[in-house]
Amino acid sequence: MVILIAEKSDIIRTGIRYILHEQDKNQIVKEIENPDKFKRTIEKEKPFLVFGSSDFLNDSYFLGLKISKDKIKYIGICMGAVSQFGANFLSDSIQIHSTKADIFRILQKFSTAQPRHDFGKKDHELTTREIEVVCEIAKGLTNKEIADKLFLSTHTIVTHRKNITRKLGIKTASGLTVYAIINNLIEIN
Amino acid sequence: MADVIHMDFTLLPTISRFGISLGYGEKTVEEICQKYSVNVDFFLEVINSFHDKNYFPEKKFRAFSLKYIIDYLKSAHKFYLEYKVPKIERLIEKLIEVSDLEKQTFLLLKNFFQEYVNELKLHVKREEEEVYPYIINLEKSFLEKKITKKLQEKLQVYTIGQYQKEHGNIEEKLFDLKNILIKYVPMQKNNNLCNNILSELFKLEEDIKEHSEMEERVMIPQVKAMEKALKNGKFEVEEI
Ligand SMILES: [Fe+2]
Ligand SMILES: [Fe+2]
Repeated sequence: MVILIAEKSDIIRTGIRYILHEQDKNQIVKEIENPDKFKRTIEKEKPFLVFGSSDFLNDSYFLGLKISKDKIKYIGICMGAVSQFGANFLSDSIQIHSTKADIFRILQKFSTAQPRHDFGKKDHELTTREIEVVCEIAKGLTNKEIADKLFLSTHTIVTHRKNITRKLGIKTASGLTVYAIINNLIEIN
Repeated sequence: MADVIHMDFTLLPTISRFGISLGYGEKTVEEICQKYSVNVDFFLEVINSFHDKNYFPEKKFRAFSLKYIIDYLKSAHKFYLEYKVPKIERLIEKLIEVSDLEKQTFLLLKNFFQEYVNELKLHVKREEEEVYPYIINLEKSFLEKKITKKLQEKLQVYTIGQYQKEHGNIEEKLFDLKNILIKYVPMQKNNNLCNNILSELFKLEEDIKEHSEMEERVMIPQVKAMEKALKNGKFEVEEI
């Protein structure tokens, strides 16, 4: 689980990282100092918590956001008023004169909701229904055709597909075909 | 220049993409660039953005002529299609050759990769035959402050926005292939070969990502600005 510090000042970044590591020395902390790169870094690192100054956490960032905001918690690093930020989107904020205890409190607040890691969790296995859907995709059927065949709505099939992609890490239909054949879900013809 | 390689040898393919080859001697980066007629500022920004994945100075890139950028993009295409792809193909061939029980699986992978390559080729073909020539033309017009009738007419029906819309994700299949190899290929003896293929796929994916970024965040915005200027500006119209 990554925490990202988005801040131009070396001193502030280093300081926050130091405090975070004091709480948990194994915590993965990434830093970014260039606002141009912010979006890309978020997509790449997928942090659960972001400490950021208003150079990063501004309206133009939040309004262009695709990922829903409740997945990532944003903590403002304030030099003064919180209003410079896309303030509605912040989950909390710290001041430049905040104490260690303030940061620990924030960690506590947002870490409990977040499992530290999801290794060993079994939610990556496909359900029977999802396996059925994979087989139909592999045979080359469209969402609509699969829906008709399984007596489900197209909307439901789309949801199944999303979950399948998330679980397997395979996005394309031909990728799913390869998966299905390797796992003997369908025969090659 | 030699120091650059000692610091980060993964930059080698990027450097040779500029037509610069080994045997740098004691020459500095600037001297080498001069020797190969490469714009040293552009060169530095490109290798820095490859060296540090968090560095992508789109504003600085936008200051360079699109001709440079397109030359660079073209040589990257060449590198993918003439070097990277055949290399991966050979590795997959090898894998099929040495495996016995899993032959069928690897044949599937080969087909799948082939599908990807076809997509990539189509993508590149469209850029090199349609999009880039259009841009070169546009930039020329823009710089000379003259617009040909032909281009003026074209601007009525075509804008870079159309290309932008369809400039879809060509990495999807690569992403899938990586996961299939990592997660679903049955246990077998050719681990080193598989690792090799995987690391090639990772490298190719990363490179193409950087490439698409250049197209989307540098080239397209610049073209849009020129289109706007050419549509609104009062440029001399040439009757050709
Ligand atoms: Fe391209
Ligand atoms: Fe492209």
